[in-house]
Amino acid sequence: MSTGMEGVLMEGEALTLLETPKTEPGPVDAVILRVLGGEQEAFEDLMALTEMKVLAVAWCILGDRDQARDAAQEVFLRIFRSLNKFRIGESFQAWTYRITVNVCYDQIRKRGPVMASLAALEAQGHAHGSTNSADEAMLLDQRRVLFRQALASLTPAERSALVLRDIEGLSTQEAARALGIRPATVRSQISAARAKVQVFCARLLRRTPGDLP
Amino acid sequence: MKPQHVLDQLPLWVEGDLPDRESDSIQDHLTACESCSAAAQALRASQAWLRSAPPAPFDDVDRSRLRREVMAWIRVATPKAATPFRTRPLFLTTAASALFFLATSLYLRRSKGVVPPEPPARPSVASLKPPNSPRPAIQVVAPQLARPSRPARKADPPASAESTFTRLEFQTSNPQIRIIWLARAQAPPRSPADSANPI
Repeated sequence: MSTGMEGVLMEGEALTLLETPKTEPGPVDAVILRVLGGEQEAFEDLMALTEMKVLAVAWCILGDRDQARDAAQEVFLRIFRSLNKFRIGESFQAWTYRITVNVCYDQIRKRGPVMASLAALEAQGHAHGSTNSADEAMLLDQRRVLFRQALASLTPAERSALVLRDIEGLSTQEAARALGIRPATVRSQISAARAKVQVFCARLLRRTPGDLP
Repeated sequence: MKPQHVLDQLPLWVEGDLPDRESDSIQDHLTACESCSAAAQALRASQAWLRSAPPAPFDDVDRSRLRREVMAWIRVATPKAATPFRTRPLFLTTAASALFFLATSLYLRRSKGVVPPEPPARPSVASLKPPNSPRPAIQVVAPQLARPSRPARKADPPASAESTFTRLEFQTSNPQIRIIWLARAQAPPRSPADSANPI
């Protein structure tokens, strides 16, 4: 039985499918060098550079706020433990995405693909709305619920590919590198994912005539 | 180009994931096929909706909490790495002192155990020459083993009874010729009767 999570590589594993392009050391690399030099407090700076993306990807894949927070914590602990394996000059973003996706898959394997119910999503939205206007907060919550429902109709692999490619804005090559799979596989997964999202939106339009919310 | 093939390729075409040649042929088909064009429009709309997804529900409080938890774990889990090596001079000084004292004590211990090399002892010779005898004197030398002239670290253990030799020297009439015998005493072999009845 396919779990939709095939082809995932461990973060310490060398990517044989794709050559990871080397780039000039950037500000992230400088922070990494500080951490590797024994300045552990610099890891907080490294987290500040990447934590929002990690949280967003984990939330999109897992569909649950608390699980996403746990996953983000585990992601940063793994990053800290294996930071000495990271090769300076390579894409730290791709490495972080790969670890994030792997941690999320681990959580899905442990807890099962539990997607939050509509009522739970609405409750979360109400509880954590940060907008002042009540109407805007409600609208934002409804959009989040629909967005989560759309992603819930995908397999984990399709969801990961779609999130990295279409929401995080990576290219197909970068998404393939982050997921540890071939670009052709990424194209196949995002094609299926876009078609499913379009079907979801069509159903939504039939329920709510007019424009998409 | 068949409409089903175009519909299959539309999810990739809509985001520009197809090669230029294939993308152009689909574009040509869409200008002529209304149903495929409508499907492409629906895909564009759903992709636009997906891209305008609301941000993840995490604010600054969540971020600072995440950082706090992770950094707390790091500080607890790796206390050694939390203090860089150069900031522990007390530990280094203590370790260096301990090593110095250990090396000194080992050196002193070795120095005390060394025994200076013994001077080559001249064997004590007991003359067995009978009085008023014309024969050359028979000299019995005290048991002594030839030893290498290396400095012994400790006093050598006494030679066992099995390794004792008796040295017999005969001085011939020619002062240039001296006969030396080395004899070792052995217990006589037991008789078969003794072996059978040891008591």
